[in-house]
Order: sequence, then C-alpha cells, then structure tokens
Amino acid sequence: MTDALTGFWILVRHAVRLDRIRLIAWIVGIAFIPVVTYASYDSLYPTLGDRITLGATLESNPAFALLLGPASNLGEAGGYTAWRTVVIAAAFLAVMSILTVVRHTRTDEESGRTELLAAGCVGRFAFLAAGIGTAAFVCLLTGLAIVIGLVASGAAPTGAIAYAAAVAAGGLVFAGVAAIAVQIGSFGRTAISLSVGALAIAYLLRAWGDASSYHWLTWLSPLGWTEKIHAFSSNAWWTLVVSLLATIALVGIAVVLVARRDFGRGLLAAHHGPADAPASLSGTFGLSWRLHRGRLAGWMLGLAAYGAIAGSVANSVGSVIAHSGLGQRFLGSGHNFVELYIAELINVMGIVAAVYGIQAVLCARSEETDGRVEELLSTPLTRGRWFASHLVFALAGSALVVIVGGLSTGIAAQATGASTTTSAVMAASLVQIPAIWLIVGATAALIGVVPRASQLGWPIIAATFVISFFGPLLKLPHIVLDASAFTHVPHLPGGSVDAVPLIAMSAIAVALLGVGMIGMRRRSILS
Amino acid sequence: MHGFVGPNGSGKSTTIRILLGLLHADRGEVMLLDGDPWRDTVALHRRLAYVPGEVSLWPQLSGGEAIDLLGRLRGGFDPARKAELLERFELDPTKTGRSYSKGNRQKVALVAALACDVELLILDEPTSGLDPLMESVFQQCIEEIKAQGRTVLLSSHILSEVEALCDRVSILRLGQVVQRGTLEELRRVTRTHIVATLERVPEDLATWPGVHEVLVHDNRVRCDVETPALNDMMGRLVACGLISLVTQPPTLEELFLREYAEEPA
Repeated sequence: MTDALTGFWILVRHAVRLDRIRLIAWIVGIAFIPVVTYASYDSLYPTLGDRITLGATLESNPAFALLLGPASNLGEAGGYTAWRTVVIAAAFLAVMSILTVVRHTRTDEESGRTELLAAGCVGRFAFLAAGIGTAAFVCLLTGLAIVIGLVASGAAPTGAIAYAAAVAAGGLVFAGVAAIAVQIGSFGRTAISLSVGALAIAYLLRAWGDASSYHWLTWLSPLGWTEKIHAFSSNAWWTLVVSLLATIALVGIAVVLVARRDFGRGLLAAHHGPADAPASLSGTFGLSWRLHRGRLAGWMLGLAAYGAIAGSVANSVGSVIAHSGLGQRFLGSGHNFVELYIAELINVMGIVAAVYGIQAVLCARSEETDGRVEELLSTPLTRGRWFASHLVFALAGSALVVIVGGLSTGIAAQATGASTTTSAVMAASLVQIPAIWLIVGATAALIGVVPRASQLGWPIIAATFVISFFGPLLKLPHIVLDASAFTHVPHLPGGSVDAVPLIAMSAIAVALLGVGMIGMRRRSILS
Repeated sequence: MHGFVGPNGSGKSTTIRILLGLLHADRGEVMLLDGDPWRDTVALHRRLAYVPGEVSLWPQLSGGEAIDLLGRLRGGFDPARKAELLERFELDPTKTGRSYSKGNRQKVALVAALACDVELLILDEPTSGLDPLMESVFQQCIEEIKAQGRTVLLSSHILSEVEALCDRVSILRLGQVVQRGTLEELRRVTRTHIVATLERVPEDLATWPGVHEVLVHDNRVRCDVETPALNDMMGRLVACGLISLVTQPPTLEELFLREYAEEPA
C-alpha cells in the first residue's frame, strides 16, 4: 500500500502550490460567514427581550428550519451563528472539496498532465489520495480559521471548535463523494455535475427533513449531520464520527473503483452518438441548444424541487405573524410573514438563476479558450451571431430558471393553503429578471472587452449573494447594499412595485450586453 | 498549392489566424482571395475551409455530428463525399468528442473540411497526429483537390510533406518570411551534395567558386555546390580524373537548416 501512495506528498505540495490563491480565497471567504454573523449578534439583538422574541419566533418555525436548519439556543450569539450559518458554510466548503478533488484527479487525467507525472515515480492511488488530501488539508485550515475567528470574537472555544469541526467534516464527506464521482464519469465536467447533484440532493433532504415531520430524512444528508452537532449548545461530538465513517467508506469505495477502471476511462463509458447530425443541428443556435440544454434542465429541475418543498411549508409561517416586528427586522418591510418568507425565497432563487446565467454566458468564453470557436468562425458565421446564440440561452435560460422556481413555489404554497396565490409568487419571480440580466450583461461585457478577466463574473455574484443574505443583518452601509442589483428588486409579494429601478436595471443590462457584443465583434479571438 | 514552413513558434498559426480574420493584425496589409479577412470575413469564409492544428471537439457531439454541423455552416456538403472520406480515413463517426484521440480529432476536422466544395483549403499542420498510413491517404486527397484546380495553403514543419505536395513554398522565421518561391526556385538557391572519387585531388578545391564544406579523405572528396556553379564544377572534376560520383539533390531540409542555423537578425 505504501508503494501505491508513492509521490503523495509531492503531489499534494504541487496541488497546494498551484491553487494557493484560490484556496486562500475559499478559506477566508468561508470563515468570514460565521465570524461576521457572530460579531454582529450583539448589535442586532442588544436586549434580552430581543433575544427572547427571536427564539420564540424562530425556534420551531418550519420555514426557517427549511432554509437554514432548525433553530435552537438563539438567545446566545453562538447558537444563533450555528443555526444561521453552519449548513451554508458546510455547503460552500463541500463545493470547494468537489472542485479541488476533480481538478487534481479527473481534469488532470483528461488533459494528459497525469500521464506525464504517472510515468514518473508515482503510486497507483497517489493521484486520488493527493486530490482528497489537498481538499482535506483545506477543510482543516478552514476549520482552524473559523475557530480562531470565532474565539477572537469572544465565542466559547468548545462551541467554536464543535462548529468548525462540523463544517470541516461536511467538506470532507464531499471530498469522498467527489472521489467516487471522478471514477464514475470519464470527464471532469461529468464528475462535477454528479457531485454537485449529490450536494443538491443532500441540501433538499435536509431541508425536507427539518421542515416536515419526517425528521429522519435529515439523517440521510451529510449537510444534516453538520447541524446535528448542535454547536454552542449540546456539542454532540459523536456526530463527527458519522461524518468521518462516511468519508472513510466513500474513499474506500473510490479506491476499489480505481482498481477496476483503466487509466483515462470512467465506469460510465463515454457513450456513442449518432453518425449523422439531426436537422436541428444546422447552425450556431442549434449547437447552443445542444451545449446548454442539459445544464438548463438540471437547474430548472433543482429549483422546481426546492420551490415545491419550500412552498409547501409557507403556510406554517402564518403562525408567527404576531411577531412581525421581528420579521421586518429580518426581511425588510412587508405586510405578512408568509409574503416576507416567499419574497426572501424568490430573491434567493433570483441569485441562483443569475449563477446559471453567468455559467451559460461563460460557456461562450470556454468555447473560445478551448479552441472550438476557431472551427466555427472559419465558416461564414459572424461573431455577433455566434455570441448571440450563447447570450440567448444565458438570458432566456436564467429567466426560465427563476420562473420555474417561482411557479413551483407558488403552486405548492397555494395548494397547502398559504395566504398567497401562484400569480403573486410568479410576479415576484418576474421582477427578479432585470437584476439577473444586469449580472449576465456585466459578464458578457467582460467577455467582450476584457476576456481574460471574464471569470470576474463569479466574484460579482458571490458579493451579490453576501450582500443580499447578510447585508441587512450586518447593517452594511447603503452604498454597499446598493451595489447589489438584487437590492433594487421590489419586495414581492406584499411590497410595492417601483418601475424606475426595474427600467433602469433593464437599460443598464441592455447597454452592457451591447458593450459585450461590440467588444466581441472588434477584438481578436484569444484562446 | 502553397506550403508554409517554419519551426514551432515561427508564426505560422498566427499568420493563418490573421488570414481567417480571427486575429486583428497589428500592422501590415492582409489580402485573402482579393478581400480583407477582417472586413469581408463572411464573404471570404464562404469560399474556404479550415483545419486547425489543435482540433478541439464538443464533448456533447459525436464526430459525425460535428462534421455535419461544420459542413452545414459552410453552406452544405455532399453526404456521399462524407461517407467516402470517413471510409478512407477509417474514422468512426459515432464516438463523442472527448473520446477521440488527437489523430482522430484531426481526422474529424479534415473530413469536415475536405467534404466541402470550396476554392481554398487552409490546413494548419493537418497531419501532426496522423500515422504514416493516414498521412498517405491525406496526401492522395490533397492531390485530388489539386487536380480539381482548387487552392491549398498547407502549414507544416514536416518538410517531406511540403516537398511532396506543394508547388510554392514560403519559409518563416520569427514571424518573417525568409524565403519564398516555387520549389524549383528554392532549389536554385540550395546546394547539391557531392561525393566524388578522383585520380588526383586538386589542392585549391576549397577556393573554387560556389563550393562549400569541403572534406577530403585520401582521394575521396565531399562537398556542397551551389546550383549555378554545378556545371563549372563538373568540368573541373572531369579534368581531375573522375572515378566515381554520387550527387544528392537539394532538399528543403538543408535550406531550412541553413536558414535557421544563421543567427536571427
């Protein structure tokens, strides 16, 4: 076995060196979430009365349990932080683990870099071990950063360690999930899709288990285990054992699978396709449809499932209308708590749709960097038409994603007797569209004008997410809140609609798209 | 049929990308089929097909689908011609993009380009991933296209391929064309390699006009002779009592080596 791991440390060092900047960004970004939440608690809920109200309102409230996990011990900053952030932080760390494992195993194997190294003195399992090892190392460092940050903010060390361990364990389990996924799929993309799909299912299982009477469902989800440690209250350390055992089992399966597959191949054989193209594949729009349809269907399905679960518990929110004072502080102004809840939910869906939009528009850029666009543009196809064929999917697709999410939420909410209507929820998702398109437009402009910086679309949406999700809580200054497009979206249902910001955002989106299009037509193709 | 020769990094692919209107030339004038590749892109692209040096295919599409897509974008092609080329290149069109090897990806792009009835084919190192058998299939295909009177621009660092196929050649170094002309014209500036056995070796051999790299071993002489000095040289050798003679025609290889041996200006 030691032979099979020869070269492990060299590979880990190489991976950490290669990724140092992005790994540091992940660590700092994830640690930021609990630390800032903890630090802001005292100013948000200064009096004992505030804290009692908070607890009475949110503990046992299924809607919030669905979004974030069941609340307990909200009278203390620690309990509040654990409730509000543990699942989100673990989910982000899981994404880091997935991307890191896939990057250093399947993607490298695909590009042939592994072959170069495998010919050297490197053991059979060393690549997989190095991928998992690198992810585990970052999970550990993230945990450490969280402990240091929380303790420095005045948290109890035991609770801080329990919280950080839960988050790190969540990340670790998904390193194991990705380790299996890279054996199954032949390509990095397939492995990422499989792992992220597993993460989405874990989130939905947890959400359903926490918000319904089927509490056992939460135990099926690795993200559920992170909340079951109850950091800062009971500190149930033994739940870490569940996560660790699961990781060991997953990695064990992956090792068995490594031995069973050939180099460069996956268990899911790269399937064959038709020898001739269907009539629909006759131009750049036909090609875009083929490139985008799978991803678009995945996102629509995900948001439809989330909307169905989230909408079906909307009714239970009505029981806490009495505490709407608190609700206003939490979610902004509005008339009833069901509406506030749905407004928040649709807002999150809007941001998720923008993530899809960025992904879709960046597809154009990766066609360029991978060199495929040269073959296309050597035909009588204009650049404008080619770029437009991707923009159409980014724009229409992202709108479709938020509409499907809203529709599913609305139908589920209305069917379970919540005090809202499907059309009201649909209106809420429609007003998200200008903000989504603004972000898509910004990414398109980057691709057209400064293509090498086009990945900046991701930090933009990450900042938008932080501002929307934590901005009002952290009482960020208005100028920061206003920097997020989603701050200007009307609060529907329940709020009033001001057309000016919607028109302004649409106009900016159109202008940005125009800039991107002109840039694309004028610049050189850069691979 | 024009050959475009130069080592890696000499600017072959960059030139081709400029010709295709993918890159904007910093300075200088570019003309392609009487048009400006940057302005008249679409009109020009109707008349040409291109095979890039590094072919990248869509993971979601099979090879056959990629060929059909590129063919349809170029304004249609003959399915019978596609079937014929697939057979000649022994290419399985049902595999998906990423499961093809480098050579097979290149075949996909070649079939897509050769199936189209266009005036101009631009091929950037089209055989770099092909095995010798496939290379000869490729050469046959190009011969047929030449016979139809169509134009081919072939970029390569494999000189034998260029010598076998091209009528005119441009040699690139560090982004500059250093030699240009028909293969005949280029051979005129090249040197013939001679090995001769003589009854008596002339002492002043190295000073004869147009003679280079002289090596004498007993009565055997090796040297390189410039093409214009060849006739004169033969007369002098006969006068020295020629016993045996071996001559090697100039190859592009030598011209190439000489161009690159010189320090860049």
